[in-house]
Amino acid sequence: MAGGTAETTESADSTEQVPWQQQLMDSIWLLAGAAVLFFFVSYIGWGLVDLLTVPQG
Amino acid sequence: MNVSDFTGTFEYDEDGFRTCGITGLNIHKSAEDMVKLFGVTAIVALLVGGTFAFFVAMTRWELVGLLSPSDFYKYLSVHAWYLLIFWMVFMEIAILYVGGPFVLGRRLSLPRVAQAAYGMMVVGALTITYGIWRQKPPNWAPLLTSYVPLPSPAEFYLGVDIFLLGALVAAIPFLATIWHWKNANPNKTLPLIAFGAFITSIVAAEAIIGGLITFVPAFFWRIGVLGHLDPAWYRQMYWIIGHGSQQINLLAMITIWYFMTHVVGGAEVASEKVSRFAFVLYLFFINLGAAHHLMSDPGLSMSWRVWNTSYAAYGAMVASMIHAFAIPAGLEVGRRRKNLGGGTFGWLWSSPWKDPGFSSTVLSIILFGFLGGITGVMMGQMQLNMTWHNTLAVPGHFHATVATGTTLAFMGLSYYVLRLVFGRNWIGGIIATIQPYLYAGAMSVSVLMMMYLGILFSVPRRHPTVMDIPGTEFSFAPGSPFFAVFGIAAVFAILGGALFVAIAVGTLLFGKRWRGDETNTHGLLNAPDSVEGEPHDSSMKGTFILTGIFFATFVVLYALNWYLLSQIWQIGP
Amino acid sequence: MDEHSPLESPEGSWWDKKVNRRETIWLGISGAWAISIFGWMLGWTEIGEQNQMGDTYKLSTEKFQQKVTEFKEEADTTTIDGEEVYVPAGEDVYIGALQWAWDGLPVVLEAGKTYKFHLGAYDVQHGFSVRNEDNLSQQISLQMLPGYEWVLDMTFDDPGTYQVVCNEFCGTGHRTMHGKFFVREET
Repeated sequence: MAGGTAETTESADSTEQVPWQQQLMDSIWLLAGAAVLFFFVSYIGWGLVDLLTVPQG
Repeated sequence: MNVSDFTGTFEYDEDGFRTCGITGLNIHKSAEDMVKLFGVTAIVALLVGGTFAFFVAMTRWELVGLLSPSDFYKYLSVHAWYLLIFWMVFMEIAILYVGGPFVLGRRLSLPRVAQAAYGMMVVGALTITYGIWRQKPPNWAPLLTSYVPLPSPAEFYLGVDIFLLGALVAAIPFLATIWHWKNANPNKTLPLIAFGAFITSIVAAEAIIGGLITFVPAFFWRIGVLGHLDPAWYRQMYWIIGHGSQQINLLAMITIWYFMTHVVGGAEVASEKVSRFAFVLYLFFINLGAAHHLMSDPGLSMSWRVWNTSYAAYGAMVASMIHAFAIPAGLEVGRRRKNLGGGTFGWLWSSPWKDPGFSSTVLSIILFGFLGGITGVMMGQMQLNMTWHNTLAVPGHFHATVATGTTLAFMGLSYYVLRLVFGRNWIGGIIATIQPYLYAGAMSVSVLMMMYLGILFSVPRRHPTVMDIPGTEFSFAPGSPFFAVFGIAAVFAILGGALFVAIAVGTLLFGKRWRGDETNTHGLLNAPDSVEGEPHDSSMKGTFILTGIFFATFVVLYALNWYLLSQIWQIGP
Repeated sequence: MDEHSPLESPEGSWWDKKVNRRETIWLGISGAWAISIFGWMLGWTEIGEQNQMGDTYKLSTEKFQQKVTEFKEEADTTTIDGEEVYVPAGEDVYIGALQWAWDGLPVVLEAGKTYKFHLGAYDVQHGFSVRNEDNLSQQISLQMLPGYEWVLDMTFDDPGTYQVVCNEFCGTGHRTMHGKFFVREET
């Protein structure tokens, strides 16, 4: 069962006023996916391109 | 009277829940059992790794020169794996299970998966240990990095693969718990600590996947299935787990800072927006810092190096600086609003400095920031890296971050796990009060010595005989006095660590039953329940002064490091 | 309990809540510092004298070893303190790291002259760690990988003896890997 805190009744009504930035910060799976993708591109992908383009000596 | 009166452990209701009298959290047995299991295992790893620390330190202090060179590398490998990896990762899984199920008041989802993961991690750890300990030529000790093509025993790579997979599997119950909570509460925001734990788990997943990309091919290379493994590619992939594992430590440590300053110090959240934004910056950018280890490598372009080493134009450094303000600010504001200290620093002086949970946490914050964080940014700057790379200053840096920062945070948390999860009070009285200060002070001195030796005397890391190099008169003898200070400080640091383990184990075996009440919770249970206004309306003057001092230190050390670099000969285009 | 606890879900639109003025100032300081040090590091690649940037080539370890051998054959030799030392024929200096020695060293270089250092390894990873014997804090380390040749310009203004050790673990003999080079005023 869920629990852990005293709940107030306003939470159900407040979604209409919640700014998009807060909704984004609450979209944890979207953020996680985007971050992992970014990492793969910025660190792994780009680095691989650098290593693959080292010329023969 | 029942068993729990003597053992100190708590009783659960018929659904398996109990309510913690201090934090108010609803805790389920499925999560609590795992927190105990992973947490105690972490402390066993600390004991082993700390024991091996003694041998390593007493060898590098060549006046003692305890081990032979080939033994040195073996012992160094065990020391490294048990402290940098096992002590850290077992504790981090426990932290995930606190940050998720405990904070959200839920059962741990998929508890059998958690148990299987534990088994895998233990099997992996033992296999790694076997691989290291049984090493002989043509294999070499792996250290932590096992750089291809220097071969390590095949069992080592296999053990790493099993351990990493186990750690990844251990994250699944945490993620499932979060998933179920989000589905049950679609319009709610995760509590800050649960959010921090979530970010920790994603950073960990990235690091572990990088580790598998590294060590699965490495295993097949070692057993002859894969013909060739490019050393530059290996380095680039290895450091995803190499540094990424330390970023898990960073995230877990910061999550604990929020937790402990709140539970023991009465901190509030100064700004949800700012702290969460900082966690998101970490999520995107922190693991790019793996590039720090590749600054002085051939093959990678300047642009790749500069972009990745800076965590995307220092996005993740901004995150660190945000938490560096937000956490003391939360303590200042929380204590002001509870009438626990006025004036500029009253909130700080009135804090429970005798409580080892509190002092460990604050020492962790200060030392991580000043010794670990600043040096990390500096040595990650591409050009400065030339003066740091593979010198003794590198272990100096990571003993600052991990052995003072993260280890002190984990010790602090453990002190409170002993009280709040095992229901027992610490044995040792005044010794428990002193332990964090002894450990922190001595380890800090060790750290400073390693940094001086590395930067100012160019002493290399991973080297057992710098005072006596065969075939030449040249040696690093001018550094001897610093090695002596290092050696003595290391002995006291290890003693401080041993005291922690003794107190922890002794508490588990002999500690008296502890329940929190008004007399032993530092005025927090008596504090006013609802306070007017918002945290951001309270003064953060004390924090601003402290962070100002931190910033000034940062600027001065940065300038000094660049000045030192400018005095070196011309290199490059 | 506490409405502003990190253990509880924040209520309502927490994004819209004000941020304390001092915290805001600190955010500005952090952002400005981040841009400054990023800019400094980038700028140094243009205006600074110490940048580990140079061409990299892929080649077999045998081929690189051959290049080092050719370098030694084309070089003159001289004697310094009873030790035979290579004098590079041109501006190229080849150094090959191997278990457990420095092929191509010792050399003697002219102060103030720009050389192209060719760094590579014959077997496993090694670390090219150099310091001025008279000023140990004048020091750098660079990674040497088998299968790669890294070419870096270097100019030494300070005459003296530069001591070289390996600072990447490469087996038992790692601690014995020692070499040196000399920098002399031009004669």
